[in-house]
Amino acid sequence: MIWTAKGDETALEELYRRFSPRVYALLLRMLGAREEAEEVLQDTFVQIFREAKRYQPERAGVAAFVFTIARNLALSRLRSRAARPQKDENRDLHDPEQELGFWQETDREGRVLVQRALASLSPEERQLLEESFYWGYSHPELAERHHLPLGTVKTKVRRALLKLREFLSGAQVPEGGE
Amino acid sequence: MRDLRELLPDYLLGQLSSEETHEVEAWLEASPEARAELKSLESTLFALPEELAPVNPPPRTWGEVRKRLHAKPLGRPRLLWVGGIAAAFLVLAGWGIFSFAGYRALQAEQARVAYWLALPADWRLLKNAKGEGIGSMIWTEDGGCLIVMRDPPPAGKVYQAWGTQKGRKVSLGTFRGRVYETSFLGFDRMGVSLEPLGGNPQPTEPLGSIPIRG
Repeated sequence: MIWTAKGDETALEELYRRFSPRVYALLLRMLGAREEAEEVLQDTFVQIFREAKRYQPERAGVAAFVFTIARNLALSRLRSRAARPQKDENRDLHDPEQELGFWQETDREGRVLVQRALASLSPEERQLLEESFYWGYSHPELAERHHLPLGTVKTKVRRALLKLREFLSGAQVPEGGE
Repeated sequence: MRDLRELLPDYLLGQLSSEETHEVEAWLEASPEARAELKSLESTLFALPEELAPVNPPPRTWGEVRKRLHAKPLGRPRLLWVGGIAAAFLVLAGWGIFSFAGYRALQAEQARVAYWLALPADWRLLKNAKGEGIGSMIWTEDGGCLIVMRDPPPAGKVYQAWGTQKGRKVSLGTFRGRVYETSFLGFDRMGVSLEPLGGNPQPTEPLGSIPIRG
């Protein structure tokens, strides 16, 4: 990130190599459309290059910096739309064009851990947290969507994040989740 | 007295009212423990995308990023300005996650700009006396006006919005951030000045103004 901040394109390429598959997955999940996800992916890395000098390593990790920019760009797109995409569990991730990519997963354990952490939440908590994070729904919007009292939504989203932290920090790690 | 710790998750998700946000930010300013708690929750929240199976983007994408890094700006000045403001907000909002004091305000500003960007509206560039762009105003048909400043006000100062009605300047309020919603109805000119905290009855350091609808 330091070299990227100095305008080193090779450093940006390294960041792209490291993060683009995960950022692209996030954008696909948020936006539900390949073309738009690809555009926002480009936007993300262009902005990272231009704004890398703002990055302060003592405050947060590179991954959080990258994901935050990507998420905010995607949320902005979502807010300009009338409707959010629906989660598509059957999306074909093996587009032949993508097979030419140069990435291979190196942190499968991390992904499994987060999946297990999410599995430890109740289905409702998980859904509320994910809709808030991925699609930027406000609490009143969530309350309406799920026919729940506003106070219940607030409590469940809050509790979900705290439970997730507890799981990821290893305080209480139930085998296999709920 | 409520436990402000309970509000941190909602603060991170941008779900608090402005009153609650100010309350939380004051607490964060004062408490290292609160900042540590916020950082810990941030890490958890941004672990969420790790659940997703990574997907290789199409190979052309990196080439497109490189092209854009070297591209010269094209298009109409107004659109560039709009795009520039939007991009600045988005990136700053992204960076805001690491700056507790500004996080919620930036997120709210970002949401507001994103909302206004989607409206059919008239955009005008706000220039200083040297003709440099210092901000922009978005006017909607129903009289709404969003003021977007390029930079936040310097420490110890606020921006103050003004409407001019037949030569008489009317204060429309002060703002510490870069985005301010007001109305241009009844005015023939809208402007912004820089003032001490609390504002002034009349502008003391006018920055620029725009006549209403030419």
